[in-house]
Amino acid sequence: MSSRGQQQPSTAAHPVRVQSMTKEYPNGKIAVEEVSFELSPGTFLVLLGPSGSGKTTMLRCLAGIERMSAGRIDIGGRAVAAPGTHLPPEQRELAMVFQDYALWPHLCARDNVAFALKRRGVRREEARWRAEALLGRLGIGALCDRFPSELSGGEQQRVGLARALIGDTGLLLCDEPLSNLDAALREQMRIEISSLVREAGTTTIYITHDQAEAFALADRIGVLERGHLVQLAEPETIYAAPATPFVARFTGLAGELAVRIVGRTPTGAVEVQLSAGTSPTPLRATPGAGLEQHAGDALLLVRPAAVSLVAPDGTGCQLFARVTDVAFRGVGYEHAVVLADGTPLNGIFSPRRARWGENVGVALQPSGCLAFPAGAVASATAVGR
Amino acid sequence: MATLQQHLPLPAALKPPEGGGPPNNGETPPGRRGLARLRQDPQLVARGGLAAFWALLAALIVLPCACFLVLAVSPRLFGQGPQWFTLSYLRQVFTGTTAVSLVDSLWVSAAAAGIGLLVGVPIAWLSNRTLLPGRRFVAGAMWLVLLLPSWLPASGWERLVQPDGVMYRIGLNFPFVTSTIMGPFGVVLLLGLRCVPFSYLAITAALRGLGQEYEDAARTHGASRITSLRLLVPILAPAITSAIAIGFAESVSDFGVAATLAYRANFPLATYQLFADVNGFPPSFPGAAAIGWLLVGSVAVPLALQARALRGRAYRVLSGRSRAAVRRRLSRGGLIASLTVVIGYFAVALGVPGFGALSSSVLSDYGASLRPTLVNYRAVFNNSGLSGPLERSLIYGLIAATVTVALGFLCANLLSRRASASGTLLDFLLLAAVALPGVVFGAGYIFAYNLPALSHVGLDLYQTTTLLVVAYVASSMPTNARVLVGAVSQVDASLRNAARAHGASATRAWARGVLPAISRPVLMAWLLTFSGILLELPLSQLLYAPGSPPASVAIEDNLGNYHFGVGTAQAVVAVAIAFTVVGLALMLFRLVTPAGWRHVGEGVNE
Amino acid sequence: MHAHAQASPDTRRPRGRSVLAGAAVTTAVLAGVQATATAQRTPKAAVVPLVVYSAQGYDKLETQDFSKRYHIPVQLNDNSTGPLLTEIEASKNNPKWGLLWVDGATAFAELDDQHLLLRGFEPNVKWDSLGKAALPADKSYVPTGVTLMAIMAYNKQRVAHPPTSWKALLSPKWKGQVGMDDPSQSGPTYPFIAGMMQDLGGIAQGKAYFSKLKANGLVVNPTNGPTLAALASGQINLALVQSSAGIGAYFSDHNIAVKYLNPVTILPSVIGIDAKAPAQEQKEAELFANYVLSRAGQKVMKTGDPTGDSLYYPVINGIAPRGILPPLSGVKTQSINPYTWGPRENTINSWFDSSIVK
Repeated sequence: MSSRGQQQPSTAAHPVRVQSMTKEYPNGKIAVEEVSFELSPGTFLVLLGPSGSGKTTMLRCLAGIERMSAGRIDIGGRAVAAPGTHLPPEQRELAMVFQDYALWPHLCARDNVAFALKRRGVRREEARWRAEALLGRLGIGALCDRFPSELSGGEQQRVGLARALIGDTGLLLCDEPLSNLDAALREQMRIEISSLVREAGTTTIYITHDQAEAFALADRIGVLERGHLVQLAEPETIYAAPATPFVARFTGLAGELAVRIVGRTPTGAVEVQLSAGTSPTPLRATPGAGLEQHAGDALLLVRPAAVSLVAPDGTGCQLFARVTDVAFRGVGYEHAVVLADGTPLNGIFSPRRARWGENVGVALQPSGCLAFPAGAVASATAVGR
Repeated sequence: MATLQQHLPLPAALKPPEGGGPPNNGETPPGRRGLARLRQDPQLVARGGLAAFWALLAALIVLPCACFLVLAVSPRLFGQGPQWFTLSYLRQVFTGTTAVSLVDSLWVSAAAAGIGLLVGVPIAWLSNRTLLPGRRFVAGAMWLVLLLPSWLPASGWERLVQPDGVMYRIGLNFPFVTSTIMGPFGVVLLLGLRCVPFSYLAITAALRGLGQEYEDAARTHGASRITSLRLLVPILAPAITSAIAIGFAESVSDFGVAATLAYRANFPLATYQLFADVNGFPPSFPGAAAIGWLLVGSVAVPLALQARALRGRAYRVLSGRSRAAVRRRLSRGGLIASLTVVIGYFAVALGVPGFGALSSSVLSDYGASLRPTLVNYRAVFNNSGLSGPLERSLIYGLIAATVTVALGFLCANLLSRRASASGTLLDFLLLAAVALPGVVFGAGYIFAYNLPALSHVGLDLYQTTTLLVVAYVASSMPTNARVLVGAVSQVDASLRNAARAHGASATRAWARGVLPAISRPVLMAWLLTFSGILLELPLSQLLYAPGSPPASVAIEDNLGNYHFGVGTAQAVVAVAIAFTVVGLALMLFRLVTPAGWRHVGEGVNE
Repeated sequence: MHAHAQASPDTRRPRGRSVLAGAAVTTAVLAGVQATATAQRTPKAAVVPLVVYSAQGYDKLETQDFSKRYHIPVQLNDNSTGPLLTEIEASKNNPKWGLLWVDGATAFAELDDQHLLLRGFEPNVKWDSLGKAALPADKSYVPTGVTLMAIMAYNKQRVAHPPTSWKALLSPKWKGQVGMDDPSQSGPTYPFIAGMMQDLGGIAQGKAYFSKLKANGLVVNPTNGPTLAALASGQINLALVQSSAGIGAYFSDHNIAVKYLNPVTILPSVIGIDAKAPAQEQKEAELFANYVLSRAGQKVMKTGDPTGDSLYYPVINGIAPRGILPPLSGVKTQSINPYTWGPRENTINSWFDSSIVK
């Protein structure tokens, strides 16, 4: 399960080790606190978090653009930042793709890309030739002579990607490279980044606030909350066993239900009953962190995939609901419903179109229902890798 | 201005969208069809506006300057000589003292522009990209340097270091300082000090828009700090060359230093020769015009440089997306060096001449001793008759500065869209106008607007306040437009479009989307023009309506009649009033404008 | 735009600035003029504002008093001589001035040669010898007073025995101690140089004299002010300046005294009238010249700028100079012919600039 893309780790790919990275700004704001993780060469790590979670700061500390307040970074087995050491970006053997492309406006596409070969001591002619070739592979070979202002956003980001890849550095940093692109282009670019990066085999750290993008790209996902790394794991683990309600919420929920714990099954699942109102049968759920000994009030976090619509009088019906929205999604329909007690559930897929306002039954699959102690709503402590 | 505005071109983004007007359903009354068509054809409006704008520029700047300059080859046109056509005056320029002064002017101006860049760029970088203590005061102090008329620091220095100057009166006996300052070095230094704010403003505007990401991108792709700086220079090239161009043109045309320090140092500059030609008796306007031609020609050099730097491309590096730059913490050594540069600059540019002027204003006219006295100031307030002229100049300044900024803003808009031929032409026109000293405008206005033919049709403009104010506008507009172009070119079209997209009318789009972004530079440009006009001398002398002298003429009258103490005290009072107005305006700006306006362009992490 | 508010049909030029002469006040003003008809010619037409270009220190008071007495509005262009002449030359196709009043006759001779001055007017006064010497044959301008150029100012405390002749200035005793003005900056200095040339027997002899002065360490300052400042500070000990400035310096520094070296060139203050001005304005200008030379006018001239331009020698009988002025008895004064020396001004000045100043 662990590494879908690690077919052929590049010889140049670097391992990365971050220990206790902390960044405090002069105004006292702590952007990153005590973050540690380790990446084996060729891993594609996505740092996922909302804005303000510290992911950009982390990336800039990794790049050497920002100086850490404390901690240590090793890239390729070499300490690039440690107490008393701060290697400037150009000595860290890395490359970066920027959210705003950051193409130098006075250089044409080819020269922007070729610039990154200077550190390799490549002759000017060869550098330009190689830049052209790479731009050709990215489908914009005809635009080599254009200046950034004459390129579309997607084209600019392809140039930015080419610039980051051509140097064949051991570490690639991506700062939300898709966020300025429109949806269709974003998906296309995601595939290009994914395939090119894996082909190169380079270690990649990619930041985004879009969980779908993260799940699609990552070998491993690190979820950041207010400067803390709250979970670092494979995408499947993050989805199935989020470490905190925050991780669960940020990686996609249909809704949240206030419940009471009424029992436990021998398989380790818990049995819960809605706090307000009742369900025909107790609901089963997977216990989250902190719930091992917990009894009483709890919070049930429900993944969209765990919810299915059934006939209100049919078997398996656990809750009653009314349909508030139906969206056609091609292969089926996505519904929003509201439960009898007013709790909304969104993103419920069904091959059948329910009518707006129709009364339906809801069935919940225990593996996608995550129970957390009711008090654990608040934030996080560092969980580490 | 209301009617004027209607004839001026709308910035591209403010033009009504094509076909955006109501469809013509044939109900338009016949008499108003033309107007309705105009309303519905924005292109026609824009074209008409552009034509009107150029006509106005022609009347304000081109015609008067041309009337003056044409005398170099055809003195007889305005009765200034017997020949209808001659090249002898132009030939004269290349011989003797005039040729020497011209060469001196050129190298001095180039050196001054260089000093401006050398000092201005580091200060701009320090105050925008580092945590330099006191960086908040740098911008204000820079404007202060600009606001001082150039003769004031020059004569301040002179009063200080001249053989009988304040320096000697207080017992500092340093003849080498005197000989250094009162020589080519001093001239270059003083002109260079004045070029610094132009470099500072241009580079600051560019740096503010230049997000950190260009530098980050260079560093992360293997460029050292030096290499990445080299990479940034071309991005800043438009700002750098524009700073050189304006510094060079301002220095070439400067008269304040030429007439004071340079003259006393026996180092005649071209503008002084031009002035001597005009001021001699009988005045040789053709000779002065010939010098004028070469001054205009000399700005071709920096313009060519600028064109080369841009190579026909304009890159709008400044989008709404740029990441705020990070301020760098200076090392201990860096801090000391930086503070030395910044404080040293302001001490030399402001402190020394300020001390010179102030100390001389409290000394008696020919006093050998150092007996400070306020008798001169008492005279200013009691019986100098300065209040009337000062009041007049204040009003002229208010009106002229407002019109100037409005026009300068439109020019800056055209300039920032460099692709067009009219933009290039305008660029040259404005820079050439900067290179011509005020006396050329003054005499040109007399030639152009005192034609007997105009009098015959009852259009008597010469010696009216109207013409004086118009001339103020014309002479300050070129510099004004050049100062504003940095700010205007930062306004991404998307800012204007965004406002329109959110339902604002063209005017509101401008007021909401554009004005906030440029409010501070516009205010500064206004203040610059205002304080320049408050103490403007050559135009005032030649064009003022008899009986209504402006402040500078009243002051000069005292100095001319050897009442130095009172004259200098008057000048100090006038400058103090200018600074008071500037201070009040800045305070008002702070109080009245929404907080967000002031943050524009300050998107830098502290 | 306030266009031409023309006052009368025989005003040849529409005058933009004649707004003041509104029809409503015309009658009253006219009556006023007639009532105080010290000026013999009673204007037949309505008054127009008299435009006075002047560089005199007392001009403001003089024109105010004139206006009050004769109810003729005066618009004063109070400027240095340089800009005034520049304006006149630049606007000579369509002049807008009525009367020019500055020091030095050479500029007037030049204007007269260009037919810009009204000829044949002489005020009805009794000239003294200075006045007679300054009056031109074609009566194209009128002297109103006389200063001397140059006289020698010195510091009594430092110089006990000042030199007594122009020639003595060349002695090694005064090496590096003599200062004078630059003729291209200071209008009155050219008549001084011309006067020296005339006295020494020609241009060449004059040039030789100034070259020797330079060899003896002559210090050239732009104008009277800086030259006197140099004297006051002790940078020089003998200052060759205009009499009014040199005598006036006493008020700032009581150690400064003056001495007249023979011969001293007279520098008349002069009024000229615009040949192209409307007839009415010319009449008012003549009235003004008469007023200036009247007792009342002279009183204002003598008191209007007590430390500067008021320190002049009158040109008419019966008017005494201010008490501080040394008597002219025993002093040899000379005039230069402005029609001869005027046209040489530019060439001599540029010679001075390139040979003496540098």
